[in-house]
Amino acid sequence: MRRVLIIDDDDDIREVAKLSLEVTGEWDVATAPDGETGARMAAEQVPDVILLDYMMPGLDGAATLARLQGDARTREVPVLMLTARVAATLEKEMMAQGAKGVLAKPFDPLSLGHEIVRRLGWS
Amino acid sequence: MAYMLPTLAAASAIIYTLVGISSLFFLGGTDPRLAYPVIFGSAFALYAMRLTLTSKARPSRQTLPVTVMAVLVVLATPAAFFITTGSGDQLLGIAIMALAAGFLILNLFALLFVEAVIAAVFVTAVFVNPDAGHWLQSGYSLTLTALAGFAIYAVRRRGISRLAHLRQNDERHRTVLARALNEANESERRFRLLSGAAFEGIVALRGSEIRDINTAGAAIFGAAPDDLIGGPVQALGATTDGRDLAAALSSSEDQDAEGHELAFVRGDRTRLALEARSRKVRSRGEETLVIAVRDVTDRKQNEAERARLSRERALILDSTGEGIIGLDSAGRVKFANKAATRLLMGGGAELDGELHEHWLHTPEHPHRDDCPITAAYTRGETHQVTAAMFSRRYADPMPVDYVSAPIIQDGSTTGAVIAFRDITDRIEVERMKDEFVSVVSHELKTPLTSMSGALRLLDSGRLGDLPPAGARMLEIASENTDRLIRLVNDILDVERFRAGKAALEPVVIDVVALAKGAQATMSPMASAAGVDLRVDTVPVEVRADPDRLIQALTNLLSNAIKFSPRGGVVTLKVAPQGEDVRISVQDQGPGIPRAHRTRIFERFHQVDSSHAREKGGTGLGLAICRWIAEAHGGTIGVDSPIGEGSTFFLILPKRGPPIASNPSKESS
Repeated sequence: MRRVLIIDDDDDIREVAKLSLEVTGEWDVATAPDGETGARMAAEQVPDVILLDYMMPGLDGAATLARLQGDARTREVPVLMLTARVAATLEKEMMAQGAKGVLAKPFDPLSLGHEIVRRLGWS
Repeated sequence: MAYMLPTLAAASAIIYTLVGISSLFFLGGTDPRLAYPVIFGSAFALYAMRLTLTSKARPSRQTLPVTVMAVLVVLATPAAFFITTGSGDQLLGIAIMALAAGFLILNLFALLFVEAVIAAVFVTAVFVNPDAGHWLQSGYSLTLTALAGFAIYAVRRRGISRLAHLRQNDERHRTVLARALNEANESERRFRLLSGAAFEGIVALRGSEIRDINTAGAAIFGAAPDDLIGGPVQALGATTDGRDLAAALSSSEDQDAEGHELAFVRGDRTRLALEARSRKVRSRGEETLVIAVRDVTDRKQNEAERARLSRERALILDSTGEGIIGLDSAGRVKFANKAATRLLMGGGAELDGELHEHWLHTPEHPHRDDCPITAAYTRGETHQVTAAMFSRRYADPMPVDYVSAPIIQDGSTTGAVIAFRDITDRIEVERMKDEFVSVVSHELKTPLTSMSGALRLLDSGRLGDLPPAGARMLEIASENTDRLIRLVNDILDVERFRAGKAALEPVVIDVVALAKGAQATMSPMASAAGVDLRVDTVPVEVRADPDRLIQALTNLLSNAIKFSPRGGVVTLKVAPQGEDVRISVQDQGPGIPRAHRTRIFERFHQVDSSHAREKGGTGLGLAICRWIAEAHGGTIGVDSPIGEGSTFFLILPKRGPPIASNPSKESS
């Protein structure tokens, strides 16, 4: 079982993503509705991977990423950005800030787990 | 008849002479009465001579008083004779008187005053000296009479020769006069010819009488010359303020200067605009006012019409929001409408005479040889330019759309007209629209993500089975969610292309691998549609953005599969073509009607909208393909022979997109 933390302000997306991963039986899913909560939970739980929404009110994706990077407990946790905007420049920017990849919304729930594994180069 | 009077006079002279000679025998040499026949004889002799010399024998008013005087004198003489002598042969005296009276009657019409006076002198001389010897008296009288006759004759001769001279002069004068008259007639004829042929009306006035008017003049006043000549000047009509032609012209001081324009109402109430010029001509003490008059009603109307058109043109030019600038063949501003002046100069300064290089460009976009404005006034070309920049005097450069068109006169280019529009607002609106579309699309994606995820999970069966009808409904919901997602993605793509925010990232790629990849992607769709998807390619390398190229190929393949009949074949073919590579997708579908072949590459254009719904297209796929082709410096097109399906093709340069690619910046 791999532990994943999903940080997204949209309740439905959190729920769909959680279910998509849980039905595979391979993921232990935790969710957070905003950047503050997400960063705190990440520091407490130190998951194997974090899915981070790019556009959120309050602490947005980039700021949350920066906080995760700035915290010694979460610095090594790989982060994949979730975004509705697919632009090469944005992807580069996020990678430069320490993200391991960008997943486009809407994602395919059936292949979401595989996609995470593929992006992170896990076997 | 002409000789009758002279003959009678001569006969009278002879009779008097014979009476005188016979009296010598009857009366004796010293009788003073002898003088009478002598005197009368002399008188008639002179008269006969005079009649012979002049042919004038008729009485006239002028000679009558003289003649009456002569009669009185001659009758008075014998009366005095009887009164003074009181003796002698009374019968003889009466006979002489009767004779004298008879001849005087004959003489009545022609005896001249001078002759009468001379006769009187002789009679007086005889009675003054009644004691002189009768012979002496008679001889004296005869001598005097002869002398007087001679004198009269001499005087007459001179008179005659003078008369002849006068006649000659008269003749000469007549000739000169006749010639002058001829010339005058000729000159008048020529005058009439000229004035008759003149376009100007010519009126000659003496006082307020029309002495003459030519045909053109009469036509102006709506009459024939003969109806006007001799009539009053008022017959021509009057100015609108009630003055006749002469009064209207004579009131002004400078008669020879510029013509006067008169608002005139002629006899038949027709209103005219006249231009008249007058001159006073003095001839034989009479003053004639010669007036040249021209009907300028039409010209006035034309002028008014021209002025109206010119005002209208100015109004049109100035009321449009577009700036309009006219340039001469050297690129200098010849005119600028209000909008142009306001937009470029802030309304203060004038643009006239400015070089277009100074205003219709900016330091960032300087004037170049290929400037479309220069091309208009030098080469006669017309260009439409969008999003150019013009300089402004008091503000930042302004984004404009403009049209530059040549002014062509008689086949050569004499300048150019530039019509431009400030597109600052439009650009702002477009920016807002882009932003709106972008925000809305992203906002749409959030619910779509949940929807599609949830539906996909349900559809997978991992959450349990559904009854068949429920499964079908789920399928419909999933398909349409996918379609909505494609639509949103396509809209975002198109907006990015349009806004120049989608950058290409070209790399050298093997098109064979690319084609195989596209085939692999589209295979599930092809199998589902029962379409055989084939790839026919030779190894060729091209510099391109692989993601965009795949996007274009999958779009084209997707279309081809959608429109192919079950069992049909779709062929993806790649072949080098000179410096380019040609990538084509051939189907066996219904083909594209000719009318749609260019428009299908426009956004949201579909051949048959019912098809589109059925096939689940967004109407943006081909527009995106076109943008991808053009961004690579290539082209897109379609061949569609009737009944043979369609072949869409991309022709891309192997060396890749041109260097100056769109600047890329994804904000936020």
